[in-house]
Amino acid sequence: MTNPPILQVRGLRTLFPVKKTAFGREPARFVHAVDDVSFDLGRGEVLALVGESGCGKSTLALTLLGLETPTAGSVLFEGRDVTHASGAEQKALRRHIQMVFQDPYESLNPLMTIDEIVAEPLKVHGLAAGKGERAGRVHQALEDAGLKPAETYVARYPHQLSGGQRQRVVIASALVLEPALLLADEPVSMLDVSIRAEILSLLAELRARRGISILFITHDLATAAHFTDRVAVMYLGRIVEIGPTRQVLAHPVHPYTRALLSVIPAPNPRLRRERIILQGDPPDPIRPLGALMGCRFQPRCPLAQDICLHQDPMLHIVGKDQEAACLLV
Amino acid sequence: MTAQTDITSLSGLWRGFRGNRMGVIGLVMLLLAIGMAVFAPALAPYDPKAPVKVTIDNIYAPPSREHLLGTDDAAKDVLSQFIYGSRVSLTVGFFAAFISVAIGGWIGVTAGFWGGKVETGLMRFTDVMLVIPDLPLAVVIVALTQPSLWNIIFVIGILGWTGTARLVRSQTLSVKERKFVLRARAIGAGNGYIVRRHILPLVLPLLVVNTVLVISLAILNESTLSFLGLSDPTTLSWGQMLNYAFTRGAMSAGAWWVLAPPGFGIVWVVLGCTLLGQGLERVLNPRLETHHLAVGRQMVVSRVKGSEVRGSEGQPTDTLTL
Amino acid sequence: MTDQPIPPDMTTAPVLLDVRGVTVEFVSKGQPPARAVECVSFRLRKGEMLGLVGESGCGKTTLMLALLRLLPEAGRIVCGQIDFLGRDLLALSEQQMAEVRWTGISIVFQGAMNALNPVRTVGDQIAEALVRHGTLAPALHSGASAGVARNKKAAAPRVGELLELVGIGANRSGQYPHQYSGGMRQRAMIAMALACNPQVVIADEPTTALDVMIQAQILELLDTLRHRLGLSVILVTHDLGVVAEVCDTVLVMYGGVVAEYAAVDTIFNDPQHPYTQRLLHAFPDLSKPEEALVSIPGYPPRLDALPPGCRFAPRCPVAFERCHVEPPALHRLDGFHWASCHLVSNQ
Repeated sequence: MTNPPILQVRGLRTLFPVKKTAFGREPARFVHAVDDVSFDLGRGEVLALVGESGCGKSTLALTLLGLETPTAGSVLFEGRDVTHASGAEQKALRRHIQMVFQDPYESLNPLMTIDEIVAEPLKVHGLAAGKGERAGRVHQALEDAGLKPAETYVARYPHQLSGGQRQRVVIASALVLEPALLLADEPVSMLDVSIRAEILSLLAELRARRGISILFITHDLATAAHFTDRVAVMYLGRIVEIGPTRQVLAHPVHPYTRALLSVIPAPNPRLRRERIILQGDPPDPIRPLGALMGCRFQPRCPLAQDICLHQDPMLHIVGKDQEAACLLV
Repeated sequence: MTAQTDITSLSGLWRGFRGNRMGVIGLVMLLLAIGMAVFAPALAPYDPKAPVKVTIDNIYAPPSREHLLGTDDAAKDVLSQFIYGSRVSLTVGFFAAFISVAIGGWIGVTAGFWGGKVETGLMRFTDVMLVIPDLPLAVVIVALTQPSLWNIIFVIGILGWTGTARLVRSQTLSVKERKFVLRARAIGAGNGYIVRRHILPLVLPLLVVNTVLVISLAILNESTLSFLGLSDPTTLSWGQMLNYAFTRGAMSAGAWWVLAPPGFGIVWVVLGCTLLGQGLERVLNPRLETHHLAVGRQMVVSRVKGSEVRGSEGQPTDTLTL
Repeated sequence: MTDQPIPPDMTTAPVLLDVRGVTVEFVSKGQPPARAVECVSFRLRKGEMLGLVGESGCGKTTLMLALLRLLPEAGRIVCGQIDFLGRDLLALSEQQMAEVRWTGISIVFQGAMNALNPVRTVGDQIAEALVRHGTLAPALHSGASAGVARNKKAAAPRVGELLELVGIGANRSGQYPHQYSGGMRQRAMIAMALACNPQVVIADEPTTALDVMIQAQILELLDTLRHRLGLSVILVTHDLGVVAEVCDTVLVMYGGVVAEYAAVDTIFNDPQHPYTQRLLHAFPDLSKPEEALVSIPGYPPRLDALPPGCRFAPRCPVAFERCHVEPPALHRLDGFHWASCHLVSNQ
């Protein structure tokens, strides 16, 4: 990455206060959804953000988009600090950062035609006011999203389309503003396997043709493996390992990454292997402010030692471009 | 795999509604009443306001060929009064319901969408309005102001919105949580835009159903107020007909034909509204009717006896012989 | 699982469930009946774990509901035969069938873990299943050992036993569903399905909404239970990885018909049906990240607009004329391998 990164995230925290109980004299507690996250996203890069549900990956995306207010830390978009942007600045920012949501059945208004849906961002931002120009851009976005010919789709309603087509409409409506950064939150997890690859190759093509940077949020390392440049593994609000995708897959360092990799089923019975199945569930992210003593993974870690109880590990370099937050490596 | 009715649009609502017999009956009942009110001058045999020469014979005259529903104490034709009376009752019903639904809809959407202190304030206010008994308050307000037609509409309207507000608020809350609202925010849309484009269209079908039910309530309220003598004496409504019949001795005169028609009219319209409203509700919430897994009595159709099992096209299936 | 116990011998273990040519139609007013499942046959042996794979809408859940005679109101089993331990399930009375549903074949419905009653404790809900069955078929079982009880109090020890069986401490039976995590709720549902010692458990997408780690836990649990209790399991899923991980045999469905049916190793290493082959290419494989994922163009057929020939023909890259006019029969390739494709039957 010789270019300056398009997105720089530094020490980002997003906490939500928990309502006190009726008799509460206890200290204020917070959901530590995003808990000190730092990373860079290069221009034209695809970064996978992998983690279990509840690890804070979706909250991180909403925070980057300005839909949640960060408690601490900063977000730099193209070198500018946009952490505490005003309303107007926020709106301008949305032209450059767009999001694709997980559920294509829910993220489209059932009462709007495809044309209205894709034209909506232009309308909201007062762009392409002329009818012809607007229709042209909608047409272009639909075809770019693989809905060809666009004319056959514009007058339809979401319920007349299949899941894959709907997800393409969602992508088209994100593309119509020609954003520089796309936050894709589980864009394929609701789709059938046979259609997933299409959507993934569409995203890969957008990156190749337009140089769009993509933050690909997923719980599925296997899917991420196939088209991302780098991968960041998140656990309980924090990135525990980050590095080039192939390298991390081949040489995972953090015990959590290793466990995660071992349980992803390989589609071949001949590759059945020893799995590291972590028992129980990830701990509750609700706790008093900053009251984490040791490593957040320690309660489930098969390798945990005494030191892990007392020290919260930070990311440190463990290989070429690869960092992990573990005291034992 | 049953055909799912698309109930998110008004046309979808109608398509689903057509199959509901009771709902359609309600609609027809309501349309007949509206038709009667609209074409009153053509339908009524007499002008109820025209002066009539009163004689001993035509006071409380029973039904006859000239007066199909008899006459009242002022020798006026009851049928004509009944037909003209529908105009006032329906006018009050529709306009008052419109006011109620407008207020309730606005409060419901505002509270549901903005949440927080706005919601708390508005819903507290709604609760207060809900527990104040409507009728005594209406009586007081109408008694203090002039009992004119528009005052009555206004009073009924501003007292009848609480149910709508609560209903609309809960629908708004559920629509607000849907992902396309979040997507609109991600695009950069503001609150006003989101309410206009994404919330209102999805609250509308519910509001339509609610309006129908509020109309019937408003008509009942109007009748009650009129019956209590709190109505514009220059207009003629069904409630007022009942009031006159009671206060002027129709009961003791045994003149049932003066009492029955306005009572029947009120029941007719209220029943029509209720059936229509329930019909629409069924469409909006299909779960009121069907169970998902009905353990089948006739689930197994033609059993093929014997060992050979045939495919649809008649070729024997390759049975599993291991 | 490296210490894989010997898989049940697919030719000698006793057959529990023999399904032959089952066809299910959905009827709706004014429309021709829609064939959701057509002529599906398979056999389930004791201790076997069968993977039923297919995309959404391919009829896999419908087929399972048909086995239990629990189809939605519009569903009809129009032909076929379902033998369970020599009894013809389609000939049973409704009451006999209700017995079979608990004591013979039980099902964990898709998403059932989110359907637990939120205001009643988990233990109470499991106890209810026990009691309801206890009063339903008192003649069939006697005593608490068989897993039935007359009242909830008598059921308590069995509830604890069931919870322990699925890896939840018996002391948590007094907790409410919201105090359970997603994985634990799914375990509780499995415990409920095991309440009356069934011989076959159908698990419909048991891991779909769960994270990979919890998914691994649930799969491990199903596998353990199978060996401990000698259960046969039908695992309904769209996830080929899950199937490769735990199943012995695989039935691939497409558009309501059987595309391919074979042992798990055959399906993954020698697939013959073009659909199975393409599906494997579309599935991400961590061991080969450099390989590009290939999607299958087009969309699965809709039940009310099935193609006249092979149902996969419109999306099949190797389809020829015959495929578009004549539906292929299920063809036996060798010992334990069936596929319905004209290319296979031509060889």
